[in-house]
Amino acid sequence: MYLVVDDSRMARKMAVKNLKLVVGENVEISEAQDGLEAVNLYKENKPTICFMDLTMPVMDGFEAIKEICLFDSEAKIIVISADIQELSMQKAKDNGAIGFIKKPINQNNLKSMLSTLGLI
Amino acid sequence: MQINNNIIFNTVNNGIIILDEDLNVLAWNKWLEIYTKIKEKDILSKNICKYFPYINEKKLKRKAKTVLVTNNPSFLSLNTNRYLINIPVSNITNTIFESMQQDITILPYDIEKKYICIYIYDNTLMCEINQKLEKANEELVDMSHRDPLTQIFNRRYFSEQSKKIKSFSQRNNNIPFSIITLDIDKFKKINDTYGHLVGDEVIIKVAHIIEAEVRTSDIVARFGGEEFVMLLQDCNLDDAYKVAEKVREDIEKTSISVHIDTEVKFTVSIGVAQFSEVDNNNIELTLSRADEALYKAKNIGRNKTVVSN
Amino acid sequence: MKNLIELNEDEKDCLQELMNISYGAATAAISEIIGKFATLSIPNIDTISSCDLRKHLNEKLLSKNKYYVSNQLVNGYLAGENIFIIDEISSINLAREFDLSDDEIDENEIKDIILEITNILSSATSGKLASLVDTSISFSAPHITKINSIDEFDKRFEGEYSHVIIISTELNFKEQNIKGELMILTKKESSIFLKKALDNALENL
Repeated sequence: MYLVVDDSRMARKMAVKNLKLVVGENVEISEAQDGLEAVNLYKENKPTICFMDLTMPVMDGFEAIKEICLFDSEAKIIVISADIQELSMQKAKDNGAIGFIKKPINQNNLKSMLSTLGLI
Repeated sequence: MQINNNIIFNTVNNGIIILDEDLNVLAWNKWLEIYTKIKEKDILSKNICKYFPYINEKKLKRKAKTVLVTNNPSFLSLNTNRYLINIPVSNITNTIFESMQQDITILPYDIEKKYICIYIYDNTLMCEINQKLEKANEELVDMSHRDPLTQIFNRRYFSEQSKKIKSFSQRNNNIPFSIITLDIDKFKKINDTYGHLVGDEVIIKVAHIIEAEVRTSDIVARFGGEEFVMLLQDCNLDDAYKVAEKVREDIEKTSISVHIDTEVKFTVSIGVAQFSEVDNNNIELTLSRADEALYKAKNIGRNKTVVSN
Repeated sequence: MKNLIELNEDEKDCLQELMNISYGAATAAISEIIGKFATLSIPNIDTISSCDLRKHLNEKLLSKNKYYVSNQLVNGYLAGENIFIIDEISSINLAREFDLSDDEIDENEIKDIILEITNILSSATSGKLASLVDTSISFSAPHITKINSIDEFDKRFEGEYSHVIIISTELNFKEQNIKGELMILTKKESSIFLKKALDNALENL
């Protein structure tokens, strides 16, 4: 099961669509709108991979990554973000993220990231 | 660089420079060779700032970086920087600028290799025209404020400025200011007796004498015909009276030579008023009171100063 | 008369996401150029008429501060104008971020830096937006003025921008106290083009 976290409805739609294209139509995907919802959903369902945006209200991606990794040290979190500054990527990695996809997400960058991490 | 045998590169009427991110010259087109008298082979691989030390290296490097990061052009604004490369201009029609005024565009030439390209466009003529236009406009505005004969201010300017002075005074604890109105005595007789040319000279003389007695913060205006008005800032009624009397005396003492043996003498009548509460925040009323005082001065024999209470 | 340029919910969401991506690119560009960490707030999108534009601008220039306003024309299918508004104090702080020492900072230097930021923001945002909807644009050199109130704005705004899409975002360097706003104004034809392009993008979703 995959978890997609982004406050933008369109971004979630794009992530879902590309996931289906790369992984398969029948893949199970949950969605969350902010970091807090993401943490709660993660604790309930323990998804295989979590795709996380960074800039969100209530709780941002950096916090959410930290919380989730505290809960599950083996958590596989890939950041999908438009904010591609060195500092941001580093901060996300420090908090526990294992990969980074630069928006806009498409089949190529998604496939490439997943295979680099040995997840497909 | 293999660009230097390119026809467009060498015939276009603009300067073209290609630099790497450290600002070393990789290409320098014919236009530049001609205008700077520096051959491409002599400046190739050299840092452009070594040849032109007045170029702000920090700023140019930053612009280069911007252009390579955003992959979009950047501009050197003409408001702030007059030119990138100082090229002296010397033609008969150009009188304003000593150096070519340049319009500069910087763009990415090769993102991988981090090369940028700079276009230099000669904008001197346009700048000249703009400056002349601005100057002409300024002169027009000034002309609309002046009385053509005496070159002192006119009534229109007086109205505009008096409002500002009134506001200023009110914002600053009601610093006092006063108005003096002057009228040349029996002016019609002077005109009829000696002619209009002499009449004009009298008006000019009076204007000059009044101007000599005021400070730069004061306003002297010709209200038409033989009437003048002065606005004295930071001046109460007593001080205004003293100024008015000085002017009256100076005019009384002076004269204008008409023929070898004829001296025309003339005097003014003066009214003085200080802006106060009775004027209901309206300078026109102060002016009226000064006029009433002036009228009294005429009635009691002319060549007098009367104060409005 | 119905405003042709009204964006529906889906189109707004789509534009919002495209702008998020564009602004991400802009932020990264700025931080790379000046070597500091920057944030651009999530852009706010509005479709308004010209009298609302005046009101909108009025709100931005509320306080007694002096403001610098720079504008840059955008040419192509997404033709319009980008306007960047920044107050005097933020401008000085911005100049410091560009590594200018206090005695180097004068009116001309500040204006130059604001023009640069405008250019960077413009190209990073409009430029990115254009590429995301598969079209090309070019920019004219930006211009800058210092103003005290909305009345100093050119009257032509009301005519040119009868139907506008305003995308406004804050450029924020919190610690350095720099706050500026970028507005992307589109003219009628470009608004229509944009709407179509968004619909296209949505269909391919």
